[in-house]
Amino acid sequence: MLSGLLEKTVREMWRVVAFTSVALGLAMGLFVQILPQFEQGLNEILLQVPFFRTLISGLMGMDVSSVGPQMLLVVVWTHPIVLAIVWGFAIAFCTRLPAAEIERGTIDVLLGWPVSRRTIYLSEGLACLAGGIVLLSCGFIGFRISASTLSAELQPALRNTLLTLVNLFAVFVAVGGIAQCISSVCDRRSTAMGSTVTFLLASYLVQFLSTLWEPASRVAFASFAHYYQPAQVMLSGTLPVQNVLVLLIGGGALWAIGGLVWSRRSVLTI
Amino acid sequence: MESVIRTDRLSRNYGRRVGVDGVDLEVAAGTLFGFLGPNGAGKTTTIRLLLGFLRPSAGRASVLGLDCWRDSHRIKRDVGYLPSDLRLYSWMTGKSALRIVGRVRGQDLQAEGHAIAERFELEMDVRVRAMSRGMRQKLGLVLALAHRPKLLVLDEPTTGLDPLMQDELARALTEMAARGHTVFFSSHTLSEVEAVCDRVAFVRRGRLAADETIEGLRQRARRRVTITFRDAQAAAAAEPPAALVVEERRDRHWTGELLGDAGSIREWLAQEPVDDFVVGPPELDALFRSFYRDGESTRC
Repeated sequence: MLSGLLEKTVREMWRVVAFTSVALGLAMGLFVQILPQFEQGLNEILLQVPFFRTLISGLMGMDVSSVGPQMLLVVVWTHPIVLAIVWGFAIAFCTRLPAAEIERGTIDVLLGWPVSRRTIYLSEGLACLAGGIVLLSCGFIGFRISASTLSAELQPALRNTLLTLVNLFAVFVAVGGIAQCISSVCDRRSTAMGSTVTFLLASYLVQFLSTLWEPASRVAFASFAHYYQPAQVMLSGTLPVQNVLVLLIGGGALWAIGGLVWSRRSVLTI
Repeated sequence: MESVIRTDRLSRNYGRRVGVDGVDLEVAAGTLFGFLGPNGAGKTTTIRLLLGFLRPSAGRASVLGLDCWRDSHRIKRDVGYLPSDLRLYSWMTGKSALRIVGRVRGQDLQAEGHAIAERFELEMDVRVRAMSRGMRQKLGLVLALAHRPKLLVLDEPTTGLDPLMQDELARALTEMAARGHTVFFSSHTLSEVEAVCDRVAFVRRGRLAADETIEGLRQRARRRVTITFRDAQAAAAAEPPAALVVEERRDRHWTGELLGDAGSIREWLAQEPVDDFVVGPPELDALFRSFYRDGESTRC
């Protein structure tokens, strides 16, 4: 039963998984090569423009007074393009059910099969997690292959990179949970995607403003970005277990709420 | 006989708008049941309630003895469904669709599916995105029929099918009913329901306007009548019985409508100087239209 549903999802999503995985691997590999070249110029700007320092600190999740080559490798994990690929993938996958199925009218075929809504939801969730693992693994491979060409002292420890990957995977789960929860109440994918992106950007903005503006720092705990701190993980080599748990539990709870809503809602034609 | 579908004051509202209101239906096993109504009358809403896509606002519905909302997925093991506006996955071919649906159903649908496809002259290697409307409809029928469901729910199934395929579908449904399967056939066209079904329900503005056998409807339907009297004098002197509504009197000819069957005026005819008497077939179409006229109350 589940295998039939998974085959359907794989048939629909393998191209997206393949394309975004290659794109993420290439992007991360490329940034590893390019970013260290900006070390000198970046440090000059940090000294001369305090606002820029605050800006970078907000992105990295820790105070940055000067940027060394190791720190520039951390930037790879917070680069907007990298985050956009990871977020975009999670949003695209998690708005398929039910929003996209209702919008394209295929929901009648899907619900005509003798499977419970929970089973359908579970199979989509499993496929999404598997897709996320493939995606982030490709990013990790791109990063490691490219970093292996750097001098030995610049190469980040494998353990540190893996722990950063775990933190990013937790972000993926959280973003997926938000998208899935919003999608479960929507009849149109564009609405679900737009609402999710708006929510994520607002959340990210709160975290970013928290380094600049005191009132924002008081609510920064509510932002998922607050729990993604690749600089600390990469430089210290210790996993922020609490942060990862908050992201995983939060994402899981939202995913479960989405499932509950989906299994109880009426499905209208549009 | 055992009921395959049973609804009890089934209602569904969309905000202030009424989808269906207090529908009571009972469909026995082996019935070819027609569900008629104009666009927006509540046919699709009723079907979506029966399949558990919608939660009832009030009332209950059960299929094969199971609650339509709570046990929706269990019901669908024995139900084949063809939606009115069928949208299949564009990447599917007939073959891949049979394989995937077969895995979901835990059944090998290949042999039966290909036999049905052959019957409907459908190529199974073509992707849905390259199929015509009619081909997609045929594939929808293949997927609805391949697992030999106890209950087949068809929402406007002839859309996109040419007349020959419509005939083939009618034959296939009649064969299914003969084997004890039940067919719920929704349509807004009386002629196709009349050709296939043995019982019919009419729905209007979300309410059931009538529910009876096709034979019963035929007896109730009006028929065109032409009566030729021996001469104009006899025609002018005659008084029509209650079952006969005379619309035109010209010389020795009357034309009008007969309510019920010809037997109802047999005695009257025997007493009158009538040379010829012609009765047309029952006009179900006119009866069908009468169910939808404003302000009419024809609940049976």
